[in-house]
Amino acid sequence: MIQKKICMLGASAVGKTSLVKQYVEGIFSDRYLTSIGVKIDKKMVEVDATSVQLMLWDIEGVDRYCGFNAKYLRGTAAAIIVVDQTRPQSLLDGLEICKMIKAEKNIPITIVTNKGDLSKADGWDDIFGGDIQTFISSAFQTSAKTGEGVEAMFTTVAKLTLNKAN
Amino acid sequence: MNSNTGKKDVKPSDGEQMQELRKLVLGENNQVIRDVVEEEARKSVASVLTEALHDRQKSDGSVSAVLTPLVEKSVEASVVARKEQFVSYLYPLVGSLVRKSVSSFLAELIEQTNEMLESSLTYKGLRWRFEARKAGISYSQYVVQQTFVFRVEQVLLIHRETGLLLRTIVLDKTQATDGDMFSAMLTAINDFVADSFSKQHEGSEQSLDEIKTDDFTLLIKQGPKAFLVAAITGNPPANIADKLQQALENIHQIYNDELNSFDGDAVVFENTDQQLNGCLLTQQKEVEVTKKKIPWLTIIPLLISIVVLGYFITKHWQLNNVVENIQALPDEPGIVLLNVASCEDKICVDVLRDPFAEDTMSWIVGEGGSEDLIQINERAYRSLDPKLLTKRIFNLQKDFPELSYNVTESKFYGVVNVEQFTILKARLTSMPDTISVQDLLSGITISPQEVSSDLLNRFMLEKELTAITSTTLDFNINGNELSESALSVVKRLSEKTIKAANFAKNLNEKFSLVIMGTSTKGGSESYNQQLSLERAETVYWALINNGVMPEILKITGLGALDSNDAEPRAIFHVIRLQSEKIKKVQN
Repeated sequence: MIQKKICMLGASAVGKTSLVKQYVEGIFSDRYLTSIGVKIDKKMVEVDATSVQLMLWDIEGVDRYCGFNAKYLRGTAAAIIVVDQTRPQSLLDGLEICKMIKAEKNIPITIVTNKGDLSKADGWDDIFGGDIQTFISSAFQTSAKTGEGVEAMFTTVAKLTLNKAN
Repeated sequence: MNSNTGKKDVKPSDGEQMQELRKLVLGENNQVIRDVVEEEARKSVASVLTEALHDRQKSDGSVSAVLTPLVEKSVEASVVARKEQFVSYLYPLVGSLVRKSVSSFLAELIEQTNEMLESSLTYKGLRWRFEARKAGISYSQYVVQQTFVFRVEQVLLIHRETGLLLRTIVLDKTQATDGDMFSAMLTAINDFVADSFSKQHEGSEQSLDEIKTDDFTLLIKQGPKAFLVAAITGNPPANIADKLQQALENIHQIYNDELNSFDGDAVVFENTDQQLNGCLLTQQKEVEVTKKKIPWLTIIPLLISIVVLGYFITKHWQLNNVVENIQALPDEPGIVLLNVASCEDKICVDVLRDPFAEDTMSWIVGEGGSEDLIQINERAYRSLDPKLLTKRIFNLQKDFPELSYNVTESKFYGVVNVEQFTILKARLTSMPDTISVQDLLSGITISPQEVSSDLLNRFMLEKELTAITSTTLDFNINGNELSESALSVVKRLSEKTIKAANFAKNLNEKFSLVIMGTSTKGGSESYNQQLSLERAETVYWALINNGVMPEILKITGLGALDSNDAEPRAIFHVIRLQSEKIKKVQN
């Protein structure tokens, strides 16, 4: 069994905790509880006959006024940046986070456009098509509420961590 | 030439010369020495290998740490390759191992059952359960807290960079926490601490050293690549931190490369168990040897109850025992046992007893009974037991001290008078025993009866008087002379009269002898009267002549009696002059 540390990052209320909850426990709640600091979960996933235990560090929401504790990124095998497609600002924040991560470590970054069950904000695609693509290894559209794309996203991230390892 | 010239022109420095010389002597890159060393290497290493291993093991214990996984792998490979052979090696051991294992398991099970019962049913166990519930922790955790000064419950080796768990060892498998989550969270907290507090020195961060909770102390030892965390219950001593530090350093030393190249695969750290196990330290609390309070309030009534119960049981047993003993007593002559039974706190014994039998109490007590326990109710009876005859006869003999009784011959000996003899005989006859009174008395001599003088005098007086009054004296017809034969009668009559007078005198009595003369009808009445008087006088004088006192003699002539065959004779009559005393007696 191989363990991999994965960091979930993103602006506040984009659905990081909900994604993890949906992935690990298969449930979704409309109640919003802001995360403080970091919350950790784990999930076992099979990648090409290899058992990978993902240690999911759900780091509190980051906004323009406060950064995040870079130490949480230590030893992380991959980062997932979650953005809320109903709020373009979250994408901008995500871009900033991407830059910060890249400044610290060269790890695969996956950008996850969450809340796929809701309408996309205007001008979203314009922003998304910008230089953000240069930082990321993969991108996913998910809905923590319906579970759409969640499993596939995490499996891909697991693969990315192994590829890096290999 | 040029080259030679060149050589002459460019003089090598001293250092270069020395290096050249060294190269010539020792060869390129000290090849000569290396060849020699390599040639002798095996021998050199072999000569110090054992000592070197010993010294290194002694200094830091790393030899066993390195060898253990190698040996394990070797054994594993060997077993896999030569399974059949190993089976044949182990086969003889397996039976005894299984037996030992099973017996060990059973012993452990019994021990655990005992402990469970003890912890569940004792006051201490119940109190601990209550306290554990109050403290909100499991009973087993509370027991550990109460039992150990400290105990290292779990040791975790965590990769510093990733916060991933490399290896964990748990003392009590049932109390295991999720090591992965714990490691990650602890790393996050550590990161938080490091980020939140300012740096002490350049390049060094604040880091957690110890975390305390209600139940646990988390002791954290930071290393450059990994940190070691010990979850400890109780109060850990100072030296345990050193132990952790030592283990961590050891791991860093041995697994430096693995730690550097860790990519999430913790399999290589399985062999750190030896170091981690060394950190699972325990110190048990000394059992408080407190003198147990003796619950006198319970014990005293209990003891009293036991004593009382014991007393009654013993008493009952004793009484039953005595009853059985009495019932089993040998028969005693003259005693008939009617009933033996317990009555209240004694034994009532109902018996029939002959007065001459042994005392009932002596009979019972003599056979081992206790006088205090026995109450005797006797009723008298006469026993026909032959053994009592002797006692009865001896008792009888007490009233006849002049007699002796010969037991062997069953006979009385001695002399008794008739009266005593009669009484003795009567008493013997009245005895219920079947005895021959005649035989018993056959040895007795009866002494002559002593007649009292009064009685004798009276008897003789009566005898003489009877003889006197029955005497008659015959006369010839018309004669008043006494014949020869009549004179001899008168003589005997005189003797009798004198004797009678003496006897009467002894008896203080008097009598008169009346001499009456009679005649036949032949003559006239006056003649006959005269003749009869003369005849009386003749006898009178004849008696006096024979010594009879004249004052007791009276004479009278009766004349001719009215009878056809009347003979001329003298007859006698006695008149008793009885005294007042005699009259009184007669009345």
